[in-house]
Amino acid sequence: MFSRILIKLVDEAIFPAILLLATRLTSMLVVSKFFHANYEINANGVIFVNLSDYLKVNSYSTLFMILILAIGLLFIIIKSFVFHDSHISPGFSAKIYSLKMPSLIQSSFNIYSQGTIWLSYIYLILIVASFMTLFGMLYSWVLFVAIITTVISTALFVMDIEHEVKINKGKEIEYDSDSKYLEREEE
Amino acid sequence: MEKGFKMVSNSLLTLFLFGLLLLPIVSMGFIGFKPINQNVLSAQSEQICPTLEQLKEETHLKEIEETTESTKPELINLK
Repeated sequence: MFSRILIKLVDEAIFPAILLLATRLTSMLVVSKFFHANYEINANGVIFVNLSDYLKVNSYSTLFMILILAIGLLFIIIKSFVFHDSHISPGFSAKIYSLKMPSLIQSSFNIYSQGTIWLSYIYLILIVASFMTLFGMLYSWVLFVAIITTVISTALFVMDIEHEVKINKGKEIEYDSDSKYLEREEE
Repeated sequence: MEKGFKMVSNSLLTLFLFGLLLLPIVSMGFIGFKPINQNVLSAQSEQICPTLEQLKEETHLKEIEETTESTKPELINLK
């Protein structure tokens, strides 16, 4: 009835969405307390009185969101490079099974659906951070951190996908280019 | 019928996915900057810096006062 890929993507998107939302709210409160920033909570959200306070809190809060995304992406990249079922070594696989942690070994479908969602989040944050920096609402170094995180994680994912494509190509049945026997059959 | 239902359910699921993806981004707009005492400040500035019309009115009143003082009946010589 429902698309399998869509259900998987929705399933994988719930956790990072809640995590990022919680990070934003918590970091906002912690950072504003740390810098003794004056703010007011009303129907429009959290409103800061001082522009420099707003700049500080917004920048550090966004930085925390980027860091959380970087940690999540790092975990997925490690899984895709080390615990990927398509290219895990038999010895290492046996070791993981002996440690009773077989859930660490994951399929391409799981890893790539997770990677897609987490990469989408980092790209969306990068877009928003770019606009914020453009309008002077964010420190420019926070944007650089976002750019670096996005570029590195994308490059690593592309490398793993290329590796996966190579493995799958190797698994394909190769037919001999010599077709004289087929021709004979036709005759 | 089944095909249509599948299409509708998948598009709803896609919308839900987009909603989930945009949720943390929307949360970034929860915080904003606005001087709280903007109205008070503007009221104060009005008090400190009177408008041009107010100034004109004040000078006009002063001029009238000065004229009336200079034309006091006891000072007029009715020779």
